[in-house]
Amino acid sequence: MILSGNQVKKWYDLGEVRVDALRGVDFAVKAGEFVVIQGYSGSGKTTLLNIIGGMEAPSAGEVYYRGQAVHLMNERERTLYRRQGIGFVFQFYNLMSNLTAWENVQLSVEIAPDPLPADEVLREVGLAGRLDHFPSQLSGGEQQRVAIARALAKNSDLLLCDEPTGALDVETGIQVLGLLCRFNRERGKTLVVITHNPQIGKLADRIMFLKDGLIVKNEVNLRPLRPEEVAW
Amino acid sequence: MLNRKLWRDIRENRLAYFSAVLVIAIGLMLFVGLQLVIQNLDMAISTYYQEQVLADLFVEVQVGREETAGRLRGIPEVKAVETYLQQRVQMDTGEPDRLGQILLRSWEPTNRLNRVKLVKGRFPAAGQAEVLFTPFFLQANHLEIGDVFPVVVGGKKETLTVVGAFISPEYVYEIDVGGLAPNPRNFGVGIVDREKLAVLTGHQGQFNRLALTFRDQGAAVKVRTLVQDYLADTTVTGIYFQKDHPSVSLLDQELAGLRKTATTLPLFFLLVAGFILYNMLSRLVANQRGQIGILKAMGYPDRQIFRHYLHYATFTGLAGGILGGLGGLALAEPLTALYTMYFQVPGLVARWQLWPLVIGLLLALGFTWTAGWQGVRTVLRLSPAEALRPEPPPAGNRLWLEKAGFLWAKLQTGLRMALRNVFRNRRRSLFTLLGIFFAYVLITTAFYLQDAVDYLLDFTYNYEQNYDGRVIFQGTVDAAVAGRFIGNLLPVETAEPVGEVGAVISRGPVHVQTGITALPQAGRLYQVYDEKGQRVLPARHGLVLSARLAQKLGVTAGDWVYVQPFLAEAKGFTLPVTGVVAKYLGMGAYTELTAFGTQLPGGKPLATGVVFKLRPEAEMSQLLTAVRDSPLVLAVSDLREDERHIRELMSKQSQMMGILVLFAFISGLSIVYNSSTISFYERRREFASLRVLGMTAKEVFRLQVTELVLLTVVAVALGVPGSYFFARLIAVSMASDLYSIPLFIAPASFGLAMAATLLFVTLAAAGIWRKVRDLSLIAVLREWD
Ligand SMILES: Nc1ncnc2c1ncn2[C@@H]1O[C@H](COP(=O)(O)OP(=O)(O)OP(=O)(O)O)[C@@H](O)[C@H]1O
Ligand SMILES: [Mg+2]
Repeated sequence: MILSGNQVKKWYDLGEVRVDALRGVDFAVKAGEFVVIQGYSGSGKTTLLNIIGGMEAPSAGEVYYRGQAVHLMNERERTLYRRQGIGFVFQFYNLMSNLTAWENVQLSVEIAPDPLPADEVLREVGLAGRLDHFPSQLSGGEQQRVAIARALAKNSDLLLCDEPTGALDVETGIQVLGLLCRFNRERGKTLVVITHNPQIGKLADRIMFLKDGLIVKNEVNLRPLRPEEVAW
Repeated sequence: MLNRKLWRDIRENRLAYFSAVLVIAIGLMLFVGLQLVIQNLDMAISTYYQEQVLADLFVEVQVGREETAGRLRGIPEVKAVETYLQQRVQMDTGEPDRLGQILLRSWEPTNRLNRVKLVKGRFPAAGQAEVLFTPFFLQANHLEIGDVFPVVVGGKKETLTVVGAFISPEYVYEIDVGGLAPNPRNFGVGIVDREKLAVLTGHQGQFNRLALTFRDQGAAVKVRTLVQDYLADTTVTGIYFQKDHPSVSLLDQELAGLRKTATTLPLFFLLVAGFILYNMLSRLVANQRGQIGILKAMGYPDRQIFRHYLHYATFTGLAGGILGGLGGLALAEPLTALYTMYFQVPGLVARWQLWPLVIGLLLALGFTWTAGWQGVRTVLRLSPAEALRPEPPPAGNRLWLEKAGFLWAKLQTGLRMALRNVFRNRRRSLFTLLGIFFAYVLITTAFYLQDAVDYLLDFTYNYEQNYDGRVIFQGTVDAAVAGRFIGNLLPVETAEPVGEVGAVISRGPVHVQTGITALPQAGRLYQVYDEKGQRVLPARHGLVLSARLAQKLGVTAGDWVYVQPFLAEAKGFTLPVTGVVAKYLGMGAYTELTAFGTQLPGGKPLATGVVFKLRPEAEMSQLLTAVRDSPLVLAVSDLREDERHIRELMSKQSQMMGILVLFAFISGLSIVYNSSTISFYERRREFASLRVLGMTAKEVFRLQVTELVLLTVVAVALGVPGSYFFARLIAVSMASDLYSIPLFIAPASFGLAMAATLLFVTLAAAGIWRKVRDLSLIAVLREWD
């Protein structure tokens, strides 16, 4: 088990009302596993991913990554944890608007302990010719690929993606997913992806269904498909 | 990488950063420039005092014998004693249009104290009728070495030959007691051989002035008391320490004023710069909230992100600091030169020093860092997950205006939208509002300094002293006789006697040396007014004090003070304070002439001079001809000429004020431009959406301008009381014994400031128009941050 959670809860106090985003989630992810999280809007997917990635602390419960107690970390330790162990890809491209593609990737190369060269990663995502372009000069899919390259360049063992294809057309979505799959299969890195697209589930080793802050179903995929095999 | 982002961010908003840099540079330039000038002045003056051995205590007596001085040397705390002769004499240049006076001071080759410094020619030879004047005096009177200068000493004509030029630490600023600006055509100091002066005045073996130095400064008060005791057999007409020497205290006050200016003025600009920077950085951080979230998600530590944003402040502070520091070095030269125009100090040259630069730089960084820190602080508080969520919108209450439905319904749609926008983003509106407010206030305040000077000159020379000139007597004359004597002269329309007496006025432990001016009760030529412009009559058996003096003594009308006049055989007495009046040039006390006379030795009203107004068709020279040969008359001062001199002096200073106005303009423009640029940047996506919705560029622009105009109107309205507030601050902090600054801002200044502000707003609007027109919808909507 590279990653596990035990009765993870998260609530937000909004003055009088309390919003329960996660109401006691248990999970376990094996090293090298590709897990997809699905669920209705507002079911707590992003919250869970954020907690796993050390973006925010759970209100209660335990989260372990390679034996480290993530839930006990303070802000400083979480920062270090994100820096060394996690790659993030968000729904929106989240690039620095006045840095070029290469520079955006270089941003994570500079802080990771064992990074991959920025040019190489960008070549892998098929942007070898666009190194010096600014985000405003790139298409949505290209921007998302830069964001993925940025996460990959860290060469971390865990990659967390929050609806990476949400803003993309189908074609581009496949491309992007292909990249992520390859990363998972070829390099043996652990991949957790949030998505609304049921087709993507077919690529994964396992699908976790969230509903109202609880995991309601865990569906193991005995024979994950390859991106090319999926009928979109 | 983050540094590249920094540079690109700065480059993208280069004008905004440039404007902040400029304001910082202005603040620092003033700081460094003025500090250097103060240093130079301070150094030059204190070196000068030391080299020429300026005495620690000065005593003026009616007549003293040399033996007395010998006894003073016996006081153990006294290091050295020297005696001198001095005599006021009439200029006798034969020019019909002036009747000035010369203060002759004795000189001996053995003088060790208060040494005069020869700058040209040679010292007067023993027993010879030779004289030294200051370079300023020589120049103003077109005199060269070898020329003769006729004077009248005690009724006898005497011709003095100019043999050189001198300067003295006692006359760095060559003005007569109570004078305000040098007037070398009417007053000068002449250095004459002691033997010769003794013969001319009949004071052989005597002195009327002495100076001494202390072995131990701690014994100052004790020595003064001892000296007074030793001199009990003669009349002391003045006794003062070095710091109270007219020239010394005048310079001290000038320096003190300069010090205040050198701290407050730059501080003001730095505060404005800090405001701009805070505005810029806090909004930069707010706008880059998402980017900050990403950096955090990637594992960038807060410290590093924080440092990154602080670099913007560092950059601005450093750039402004260096630019301003260099500017200050450049400014030091002409500023110092300005002082050499009216201070006669050797070695007053612009020297450069490093420390004002270093302190200035630290100051700039301190300000920008504080502003930056305040602006960026919030970065630390956000968790990365929070940072990635958009900022929660402010509670969307309906405007109070909207609730007043009736009014609201009457407004135009455009105005309604603008109002809504103004209130919806209060923080941004507040910044813009404050920006325009500051711009406006800066300009009125800069104009105010000129208004105040104009006002005080008009007040002093047209209301307070509403006469053409003053006849100054040799000693004192019976007031009634004096008034009749001058009043009956043909060219004179009205004449009123004036008695001026030096005195120490005390209230408890506070003693202030000042002048008392005794005026006739019903006088028309010399009148005093209170702060509200109401005339205050000089009281019989009472004193009217200038506001500054009242403040120094800590008294108000109704309190009693003790008065010790500097007059032969005069005893001290107490008087009530009957009023406090505005006096902008100098300070002093007023009383009624007749009643005052009864309290002085002799019990008669005495006049030291007569102020007069000439008939419209009469010339000053006619009056001079009439009084020139009178044994009573020492000199005649021409008030209009004094006024001209002082205005000339002020006009040199107002060139400096002109620079200040320019700086205020630049800062004002910077603030408004900066504020509106950032607003535009923040709203570019909103504008793009409006354009996408089908609004024309013009409509979007109009919306923005309506908002700007609304804010401008409010800012300018607030700016009027704001200007008075800052003007008052300045007036209070600049007040000295030499001058107080009236709180007066001319309507024209408000108008000009308004015009300037409108200009800035228009320029800003033009900038916005260009940007709205060129707004690339696609680029903006595709960007993410
Ligand atoms: N900062 C917050 N303050 C208050 N409530 C929050 C906050 N963040 C999330 N929530 C609430 O927590 C619940 C779970 O949110 P979360 O973002 O995890 O949902 P999600 O499953 O990612 O939804 P979506 O598919 O729409 O992205 C929602 O009801 C949301 O409103
Ligand atoms: Mg979500």
